[in-house]
Amino acid sequence: MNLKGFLIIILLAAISFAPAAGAGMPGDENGDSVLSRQELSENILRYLACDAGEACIDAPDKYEILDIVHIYSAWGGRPKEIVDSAGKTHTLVCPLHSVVVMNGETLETMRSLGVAPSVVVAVDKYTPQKPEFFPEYAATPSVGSIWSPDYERILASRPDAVFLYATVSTKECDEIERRITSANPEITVFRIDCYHPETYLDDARILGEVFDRQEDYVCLSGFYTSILDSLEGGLSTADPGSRSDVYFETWTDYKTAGPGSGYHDKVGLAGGKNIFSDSAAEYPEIDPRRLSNVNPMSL
Amino acid sequence: MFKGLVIVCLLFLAVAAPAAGMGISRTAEAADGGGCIVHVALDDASVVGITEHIPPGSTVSSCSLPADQWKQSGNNLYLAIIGEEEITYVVSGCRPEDLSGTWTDLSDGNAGPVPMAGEEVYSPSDSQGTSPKKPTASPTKAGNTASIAGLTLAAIAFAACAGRRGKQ
Repeated sequence: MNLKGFLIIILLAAISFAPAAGAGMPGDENGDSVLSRQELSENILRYLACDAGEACIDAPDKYEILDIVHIYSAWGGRPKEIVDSAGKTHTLVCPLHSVVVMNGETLETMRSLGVAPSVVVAVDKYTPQKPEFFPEYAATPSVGSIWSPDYERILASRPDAVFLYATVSTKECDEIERRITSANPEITVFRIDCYHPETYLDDARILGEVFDRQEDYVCLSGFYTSILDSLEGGLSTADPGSRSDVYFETWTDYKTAGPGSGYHDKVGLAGGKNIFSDSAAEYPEIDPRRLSNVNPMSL
Repeated sequence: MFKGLVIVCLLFLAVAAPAAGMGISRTAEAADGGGCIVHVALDDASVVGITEHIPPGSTVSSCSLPADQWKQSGNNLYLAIIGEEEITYVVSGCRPEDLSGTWTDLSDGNAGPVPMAGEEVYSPSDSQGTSPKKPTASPTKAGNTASIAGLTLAAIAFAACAGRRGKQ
């Protein structure tokens, strides 16, 4: 990155960080990290008086009062602690209103949980390229990819939180997290996968907690489990030798999936046999000649 | 004919649907020695802000809410409802018909006028109290309109189906 780019990031960081500096839990007048009933009623009365045309000194606006009530009602008046898929504990003092999502699987799961698209202020560059799957994000600003992130745009979108993979491309995601939190410590970086069948429901549950969509998580979990159960039931009576050989290609030509990857597990769950299940790498790039030698039944 | 009936019913439902909203109503009675005793009832225990407009010169002498959950300022009485389902307050120097007010559901921002019991409020829920009121018979809960519409739809559809069977 050149000097000009670096200065732009610093400036954007200053802009995005300034309003959030010192921000605590809305409505917590005495700063004890507990929103008491008395603090709630004081804020409601001030809001009503301001709304009626009286002085608005220390009165919350209509968005802030909704947050205050939500914290009191849904969070028990206390900050919310969430452990992400990487095992890191985050403390939220306010519901999230703007997030940047850098992995499509998490975005898809957020949609399944009923998170409003308006909360997502920016996405990775691949999401708008799939309008048939993500029509609601076709016009959402993109901030590059985890391999080539646009830090200026991420910071300029002033997110409350950024979502990155937890266990894949960890080197790249670690670097993005480091840079974002260095530029603005107020931005929470969640590491969640949502791509691996084995951990999918745990990831979805964490997202449900992040966005207070626990009931939707229960619905999603029931649906997901029922599909897995029906697959398992169907495959339990099938001859193991009858599984079709499958070649699964992703991202680029001849880039496939090996053991440890989500795609490998999904092929197996669907009754297929990954022809590159002996690969040492999770996402190997294979020699095209190997593919013609194996001649899979499914591509 | 059947198609037409369904369209009429759907239109009826579409008109009735916006009336569904928070169940809230006010009753007021004359107090001994002047003034009035006002009861505000809510369907659900939720967090709601209410601004009651009382006549100029009136004073709220008591309120069933804890002291830090209500405040009179001029002609306005502000009520912070935190789970209470019924509130009673006493106003000196007022007549029941002088009262008006607005509610705001602070869980979602929806708002509307506080109707006197026996009034049906026809308004989108975010009308901030500006919508006209249409008097009707009790019950007062706005959601009942949609239920009545649904029952009407079912009755008409049943009658229409019976009519069709008769023609076959």
